Amino acid sequence: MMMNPSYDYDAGLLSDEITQEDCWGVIETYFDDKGLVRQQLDSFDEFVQNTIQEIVSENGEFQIITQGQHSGTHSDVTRRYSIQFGQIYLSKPTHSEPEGETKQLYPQEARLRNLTYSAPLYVDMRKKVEIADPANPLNQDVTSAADMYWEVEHAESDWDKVFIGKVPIMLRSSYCSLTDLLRANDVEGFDVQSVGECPYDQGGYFVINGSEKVLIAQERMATNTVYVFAKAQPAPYLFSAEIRSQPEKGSKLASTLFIKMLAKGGKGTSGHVIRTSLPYIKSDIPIMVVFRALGSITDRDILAQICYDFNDREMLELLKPSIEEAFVIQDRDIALDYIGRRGTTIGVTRDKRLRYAADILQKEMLPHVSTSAHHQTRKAFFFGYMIHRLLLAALERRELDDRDHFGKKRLDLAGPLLSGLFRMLFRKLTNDVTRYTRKVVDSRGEFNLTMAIKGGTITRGLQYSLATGNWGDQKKFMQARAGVSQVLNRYTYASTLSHLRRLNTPIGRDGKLAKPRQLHNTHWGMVCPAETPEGQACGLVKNLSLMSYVTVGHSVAPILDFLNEFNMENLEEITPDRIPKATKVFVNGQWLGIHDDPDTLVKTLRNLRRNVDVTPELSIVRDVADKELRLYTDGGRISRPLFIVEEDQTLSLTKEIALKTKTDPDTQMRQCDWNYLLEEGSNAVYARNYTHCEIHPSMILGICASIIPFPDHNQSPRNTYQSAMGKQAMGIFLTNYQIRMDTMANILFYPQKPLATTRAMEFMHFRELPAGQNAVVAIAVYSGYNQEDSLIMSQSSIDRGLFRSMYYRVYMDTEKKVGMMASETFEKPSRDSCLRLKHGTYEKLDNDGLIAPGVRVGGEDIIIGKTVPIKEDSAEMGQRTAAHTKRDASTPLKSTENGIIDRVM
Amino acid sequence: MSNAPATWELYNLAPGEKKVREIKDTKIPNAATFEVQKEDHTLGNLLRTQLLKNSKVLFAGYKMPHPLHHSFVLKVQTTPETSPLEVLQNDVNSLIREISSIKLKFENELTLHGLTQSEPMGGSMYNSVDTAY
Amino acid sequence: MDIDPSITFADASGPQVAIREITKTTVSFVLSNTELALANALRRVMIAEVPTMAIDLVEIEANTTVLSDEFIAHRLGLIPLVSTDVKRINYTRDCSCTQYCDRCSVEFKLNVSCQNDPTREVHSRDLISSHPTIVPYLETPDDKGVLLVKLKRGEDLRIRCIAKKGTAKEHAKWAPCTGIAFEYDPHNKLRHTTYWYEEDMKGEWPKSAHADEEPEPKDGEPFDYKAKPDRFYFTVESTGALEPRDIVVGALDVLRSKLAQLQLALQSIANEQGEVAIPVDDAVPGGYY
Repeated sequence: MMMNPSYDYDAGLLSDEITQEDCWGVIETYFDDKGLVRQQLDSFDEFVQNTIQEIVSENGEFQIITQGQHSGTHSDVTRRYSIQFGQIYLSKPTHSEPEGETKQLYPQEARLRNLTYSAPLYVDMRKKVEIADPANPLNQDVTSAADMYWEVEHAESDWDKVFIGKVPIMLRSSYCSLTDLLRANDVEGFDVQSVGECPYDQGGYFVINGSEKVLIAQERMATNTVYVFAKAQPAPYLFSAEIRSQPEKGSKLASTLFIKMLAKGGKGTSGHVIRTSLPYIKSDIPIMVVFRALGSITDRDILAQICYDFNDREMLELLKPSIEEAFVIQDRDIALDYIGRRGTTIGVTRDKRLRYAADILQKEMLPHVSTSAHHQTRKAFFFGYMIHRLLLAALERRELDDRDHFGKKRLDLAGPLLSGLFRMLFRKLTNDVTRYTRKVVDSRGEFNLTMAIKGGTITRGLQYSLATGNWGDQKKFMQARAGVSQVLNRYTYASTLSHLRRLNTPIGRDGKLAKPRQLHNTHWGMVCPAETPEGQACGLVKNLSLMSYVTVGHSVAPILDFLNEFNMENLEEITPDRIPKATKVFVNGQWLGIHDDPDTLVKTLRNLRRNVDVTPELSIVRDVADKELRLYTDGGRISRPLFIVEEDQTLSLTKEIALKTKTDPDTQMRQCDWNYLLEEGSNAVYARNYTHCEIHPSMILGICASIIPFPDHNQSPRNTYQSAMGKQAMGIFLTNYQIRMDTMANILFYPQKPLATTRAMEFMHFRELPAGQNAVVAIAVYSGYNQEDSLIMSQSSIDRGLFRSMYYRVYMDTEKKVGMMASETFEKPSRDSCLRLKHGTYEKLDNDGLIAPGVRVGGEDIIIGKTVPIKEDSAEMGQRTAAHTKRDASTPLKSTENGIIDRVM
Repeated sequence: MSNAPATWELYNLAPGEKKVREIKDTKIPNAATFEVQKEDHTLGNLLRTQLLKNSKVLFAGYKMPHPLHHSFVLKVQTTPETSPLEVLQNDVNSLIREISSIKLKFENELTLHGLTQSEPMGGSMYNSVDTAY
Repeated sequence: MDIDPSITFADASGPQVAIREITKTTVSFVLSNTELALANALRRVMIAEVPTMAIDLVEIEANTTVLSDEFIAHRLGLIPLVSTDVKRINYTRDCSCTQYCDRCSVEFKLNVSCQNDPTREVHSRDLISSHPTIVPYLETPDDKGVLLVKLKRGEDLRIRCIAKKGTAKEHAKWAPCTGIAFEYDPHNKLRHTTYWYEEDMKGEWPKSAHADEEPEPKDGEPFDYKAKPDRFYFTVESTGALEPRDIVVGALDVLRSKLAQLQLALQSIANEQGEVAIPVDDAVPGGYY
């Protein structure tokens, strides 16, 4: 290679300049620290360590009230039974033998014995019985049970650590048995190899019924984001502003709000009216009605909440038709009644209708802003903001939103997927407990804990979804998403890694819309530009880039504290006319307030993040043009590290720190910033100041594309083809293949590391577990025998071991039992007692019906002998004689294969 | 491998198979095709080159019909005074002479380099075949 | 150009051979005044048709190593065996025995287990031969030979092997040479090849190995389209199975016997057809025989 003499590559070693080699040092520290499946592990750990407890606490209490009969007898009191679930405990993965013995389980045993690698989950429970005596003077005038005065009848009964089900454990997560081994690896002979594990296996998957399952990350649109779109004409409306609103905590489904600017004017109005949809309300409501129902009565107040600036004539003009439309509704109650009449309840009193409408506005409309009372102002402001955005788009002052912007996408990994499932199953469990308790109470029986809690609900529910990939209830699998859980690819090590970093977009499979499939600018550094399948799922299935990571989600509370401390002005406390000059502050899509000095605020927040005073996962997006500051802490954002560029345009990473690579990874990584996708407007001015610097451009590639040497010199589809083919390469997929018993496994005798390597291969252990061999190739005609991709190989190379490989296949059978009796038997079937013998030879079987290791087999040789007794009455089509008592059910070898029995288990 | 010929096909003539078959050309005078079994380019190219040096040969060419079949065909056309078979026999003989001469000179060179033969001079390593002639 | 043999000197006419260097494992020589086809035939025969001994049948009694039986069997086959005595061994296919016997095969035994060391390496030296001279090739008396497999504590390997005579056209394990360097026309005067270059062919390409043996063409020298190659530079490297000189001599013998066999077949055709049958003429010009 020719080197440019004016650039001295070694100069960096002497000077303080950061060289490319220093960057690779940083990259190495990153992978040493995180590995390649960190997103999976962190997501699962978050689920186990926090989410389970949250779900249990959230749904963990229920009460049963038995009304007194008002018979006047002494014992006739109202009783309240309440059951509460408290602290949860998760043990290490275990397995219980049928004999009752329970012991710790290691993944390899689970794989070999078709077990599920799962850990039992326990919970503390508390039961309380209270009575409310109607005779008690305190209860004289109380009608509702909830308001009565309760006294404890029975002392609380506590149950500690009640078993409620088994949770599959992700390999190498913090609850995995292997993690302990790795921590204790200073003890000699006490390592992952000692339990049959390959040291190169990186975990991140589950073992369900002996098979390895990966949860594929599911891409979705972010919630709590306002999107403004123009509708292609002709259509009933011109523009729409939509939001899918979901509160931070809790399981509620996202509620959608849809504001439209109608194409033709309403009756008797001029211009385009704006209306909105509301949850549970059948028809669209004029926006002014909603404002009035929220308590902003005067036109002036409402307009202030929408367009902030009364000098903005254009915008006010656009709102005119809407004001005219709602002219008749000028007061809150009428507005509420207007909404209530269009709800689902019919024929109720006006009073109830008003309450109903108010409830919808409070709890169902824009729940991410607030679901409690007395927050109407905030809600009105947010509603106004949405209309403001709609009008900006209508006035062509702001670009329409891009549905495919990757910054507005979130990934659901193992954690969120499992918590959705767990929440559903835990509810089912508590419903069962409620039903049981009611029965017990009604029949005045004894409350039996083991009868009440069915551990199978959670165990089976989780296992079902993980085993089949149907995400959701087993009974209604039609609604469930299919293919969420997949069998881990074990063709070659790189294919395994790539599978663990895969993303899926659940989009209408045959929707021929091209946009969601296209590579978007915002994919840079987050997903691989080359690695995607061809055909049906092209562009919908993606793969994470090497350094990208998915956030797990953090609480917003500390950020809110900081914001208040740094002089953010709350929405409730300001007058709308200040908004145009100030910067709006959003946290997770919720508009909290405004700030007058965004520059300083952003700087302070960045410093807080870099010093880990707030979570390093915090995204700070400063939209200068639109005067917005958006902060995010939610889970599922894709992120990647970048070097920090200081204000004086120098890297914060110094030579000194770079050279510390191995000794002090912490300090070094602190010079990198987790950068989350910035939502830049397309008209953003080119930056004159840099804030971040790419660590290395090759990190935009995913696992498979990182194996390609000089990918930047290829035609782009070639890289995509290779990314798909690299997964089928043969090599050594794991070092423990001899004890793994995979149904199919190919092993190359002499795998070689490639002559032309890439730096990224180092982190993917491609040198330790290579796939393929280096071949010397000539392109030449060979009297036509190599036409059309056929090829001629050197016989002597083949003789000497080039491309030599072996192939393992597992044949498995079980003796099925009916009741306690073993009905099927492993044995060597004999022609005189057995019907329907197969034509392969049975001679290779031992008397126990199994073949011995080392036997050479071929064709249709029988390798497992098994018989089934025939029912007394069946004649078997006249072939049966008195001697025939059994029918053959043996397993023959595949007719086209031959080989040697390696192992019998 | 499904279509690879058995290894013994490399050296064993099938029952009834002749080492060489001469197919006289029906249209061209003094022309014939020789089908030589269990031999390859080593002999094919050697014979062709030797024939081409012969002034009585008008045409000589060879090919291996298939890379997996261990045989070659040699086409020869001569002047009317002789026949392809005769020419071929003569040229094979001159090749044998040439090879014997090379062997002799190689062995002379070995002695010049002070190396005694691992075999007494003149004693061939492959007596079993040689003694047949 | 028929030359009367009686007036030719053995060393002056016909093909010439000059040995340049001879070592334990290599021989370099120049063959000249002959045809490219003949030189190439010699090269091809040395690679593929000079018989040697190699392990052909492997009976595995015990193998608890990490490598599979077929893996080890393949590695055993590739071990070079000293085959100076192959001529005294029959091809199994020509032998009078039914399966194999000591006239057409040599038995090797391997019995290694690792008891105390953390690892035990198994080398070709560990093979015990039933024949006095047909043994695994070792470069020096204390050479351990080829590494076959490494044993962990508690693993063992018990194997019986049968080595047979064969040629490399059947399987490369019978190849007597690792490689043959073959060159002619080092200055590419004949234009049998084209050298790719950016600006200056001479500056960008290294000198050919035997460039000093032949005069460099002068600039602007016209292309002689009638010229034929006639000096061939050989370097034969042995696997250790045969002495390098035995490979060359053996190859010449094989080539001659191939031609003799052909001549016999042609004779019988001639006899059948009533044409002139010419007997094998093995007289060397200059008259040794």
